[in-house]
Amino acid sequence: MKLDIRRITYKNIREMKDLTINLEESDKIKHISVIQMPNGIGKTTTMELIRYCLDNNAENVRPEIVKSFKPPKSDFLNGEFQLLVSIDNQIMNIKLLLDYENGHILYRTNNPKKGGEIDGLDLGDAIAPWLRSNFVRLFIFDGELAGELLEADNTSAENAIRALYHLDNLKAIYEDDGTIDKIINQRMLSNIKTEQGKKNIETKLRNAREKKNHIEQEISSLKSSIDSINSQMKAAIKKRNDYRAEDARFIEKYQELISTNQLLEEQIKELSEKLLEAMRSPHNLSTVFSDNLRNLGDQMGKLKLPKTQSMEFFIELSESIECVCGRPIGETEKQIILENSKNYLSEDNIGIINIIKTHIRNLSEKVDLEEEYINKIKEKNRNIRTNERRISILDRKTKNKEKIDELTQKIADLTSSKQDTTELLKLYTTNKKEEQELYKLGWEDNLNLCESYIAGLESQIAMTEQDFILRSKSKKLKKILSEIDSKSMEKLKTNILLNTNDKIKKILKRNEINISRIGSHLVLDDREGVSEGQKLSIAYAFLSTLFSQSPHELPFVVDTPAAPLDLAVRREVAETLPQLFKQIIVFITSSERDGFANQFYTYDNCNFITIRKEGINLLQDNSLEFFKNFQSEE
Amino acid sequence: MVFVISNDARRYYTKLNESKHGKFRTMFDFYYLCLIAGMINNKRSTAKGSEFIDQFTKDFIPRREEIIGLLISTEIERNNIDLNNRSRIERLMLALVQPDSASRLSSDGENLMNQYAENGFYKILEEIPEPPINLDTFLITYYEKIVKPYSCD
Amino acid sequence: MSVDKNIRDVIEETLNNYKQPFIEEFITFIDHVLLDAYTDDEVLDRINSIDLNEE
Repeated sequence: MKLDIRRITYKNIREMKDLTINLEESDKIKHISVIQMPNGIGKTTTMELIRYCLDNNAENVRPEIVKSFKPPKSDFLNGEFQLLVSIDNQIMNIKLLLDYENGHILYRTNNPKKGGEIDGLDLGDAIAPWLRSNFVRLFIFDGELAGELLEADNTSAENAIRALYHLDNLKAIYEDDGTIDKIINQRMLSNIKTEQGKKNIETKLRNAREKKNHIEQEISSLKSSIDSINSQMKAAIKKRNDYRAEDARFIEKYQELISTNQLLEEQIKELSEKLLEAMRSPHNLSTVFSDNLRNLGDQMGKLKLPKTQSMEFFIELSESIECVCGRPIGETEKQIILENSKNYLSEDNIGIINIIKTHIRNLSEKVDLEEEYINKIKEKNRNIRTNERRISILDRKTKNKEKIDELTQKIADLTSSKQDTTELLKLYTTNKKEEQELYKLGWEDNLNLCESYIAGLESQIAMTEQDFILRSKSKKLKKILSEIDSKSMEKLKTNILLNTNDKIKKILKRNEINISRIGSHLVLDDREGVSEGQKLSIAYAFLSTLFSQSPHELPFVVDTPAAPLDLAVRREVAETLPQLFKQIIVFITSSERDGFANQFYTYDNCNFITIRKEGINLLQDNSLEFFKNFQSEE
Repeated sequence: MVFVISNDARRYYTKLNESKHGKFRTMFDFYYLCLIAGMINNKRSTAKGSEFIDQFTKDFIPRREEIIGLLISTEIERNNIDLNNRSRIERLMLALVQPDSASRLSSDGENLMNQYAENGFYKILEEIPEPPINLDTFLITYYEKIVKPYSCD
Repeated sequence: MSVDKNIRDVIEETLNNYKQPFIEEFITFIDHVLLDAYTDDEVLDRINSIDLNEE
């Protein structure tokens, strides 16, 4: 990555109400830009703001600090700081909006790749990871860093290496409670962490499985019971139905027979009455009678009984003068006639005897009582009796009632038994939550709960196993990463050490200062107490080594780089620095000109900018002459 | 003159008439059967019953002359009257009938009837001591035990 | 591949028991880690994909 700073613009910041510092000329970045600025104007502020522009840390700045950037004794509510940069030749503008009222800083980035000005700092995804605060401060260089690099118990040196090579990102991953630990803990599925814990679960699982078997057996046995009860019930019901049907049939038959008998009795009644009617005629009763009557009738006919002449005829005749034959009837005749008339029946008698004779001679045809009535009656009586016998048999047979009652009881008992068994089975088998709660069923009482419990245990074991695997893998990875980190550090340190020592020699020719090793800080060989100048030199040497070893081309922005250095060292630094960085921006005071800045006067690719205060105004001068001759008030 | 029937006969008749297989229309039915039984038996007994009717009932009117004829025939036989003896038969007939009586029988005739009926009841009692529950049983038993043997002699 | 050569060498040395494709993958992984480009899930993937059986 190549980062250049092209322009710095201030508005309402400290003494810089409206100032623009160009670091390029005709689109070309000056190699060196020396900005002469008296103390108190805003060098330190400038350094800070440049850092914010790059490290995206402005939002964490405390409000007091933000407010301190306000031009003194002013009412400005806002200030603005802009940094025009090019990143890999892509020009971008970074704007800081300073809210003095609330003590906030907001970012605006004008990144053509993002389509114009946007809120926030967005220098692109490629660059952003590189520009972290602890890295940015390596090249937007705070002079104090120099001392820290050599301070025991100060890890700045190491951190610088880490920062440059981003090994801090690596550490963040594998360190304790770092990313890997965090991920693992998040993804720990089970809460079983020990071998014993796992064994416990396994024992529980074994027991639970045994229990499940037991429950299943119970269920099976209960189901068998129910089946058995069902078939018994089925048989009993069938039997009862058969009995009832039998009874029903019998009842039907019974009714039938009774009806039949009723009918027969009706018929017998009819026939009896007809028989009686027939019997009323004696000749129907017996042939003897009919014979006797016929004989009598015949005899009566033969004997001319009754005589046809009645007594009355003769009595009448006796009163006549003349007989029917014509002879006269005198007294004598009359007496004889009257006398003989007694031999004759009276008319009435003749009548009745005639009637008798007529009747007995005209008897109706004899009715065969046996054929017509008696046999039929007998037959019907026989049928009635047969039916009655059948009825009584049926009657006896409808004593199925006892059996039916017995079976009804049996069915009731079976039903009750089935209900109990079903209830029990339900307890074992229900998978309805409400029921499980209602009956207070535990995993030992219920198959569904037992299976859930087993599943839970199995899952725990699986999770534990998974966890173990995960943990062991993560451990392994951490170890690898840790190894890579430490080895990398070692290697880098070794390289940097060598190179830094080389550079130190170049700069501090007359002094034998060696970095013996790079621990957390730069550990010097033999020397107790190093001067400020030496410290700075070592720092630059170290930094330049760092940057020279990195793939980045970064500007080196430094604030009063040479003040503590003696002239010789100044010269060396001034000579070395340009070789170390592609772009250098140096903020100096006038006192640093000698020995340091004057080294550049003959250098073509250099900016000499003087910022001075005159009255209330801040003036900028870009000429070398002015630069050379400028004297600040201090 | 009237027809009489003994109290025993009445009782018998009453019981018999509780049958569900038909009933006698009147007590005369029973009287008639007693009469026939007596004639078959060819015996008479002292009639000591009480009066119950003075004429043949409606059912028997069509058979009245037949029955009277039978009575005559029975008497002829009992008195051993020669069937060719016209005057004796005539005299017998005149003795038994009475044209102007309700029954068309003389009191002698009725008497005879009552006597035969009385005896006939005993005959019935002999053969059928207890009145059967059903009329048909009675009639058939009467026929078979009393009438039929007579016919087949 | 923007991993510093020194670091790259270290990786190869550390993983000398592993197969080459894996080593390359791992270098890519480190590259991303250094650039803080990984989500937690991606790191988890890496954990899961580490083959415990070194070759």
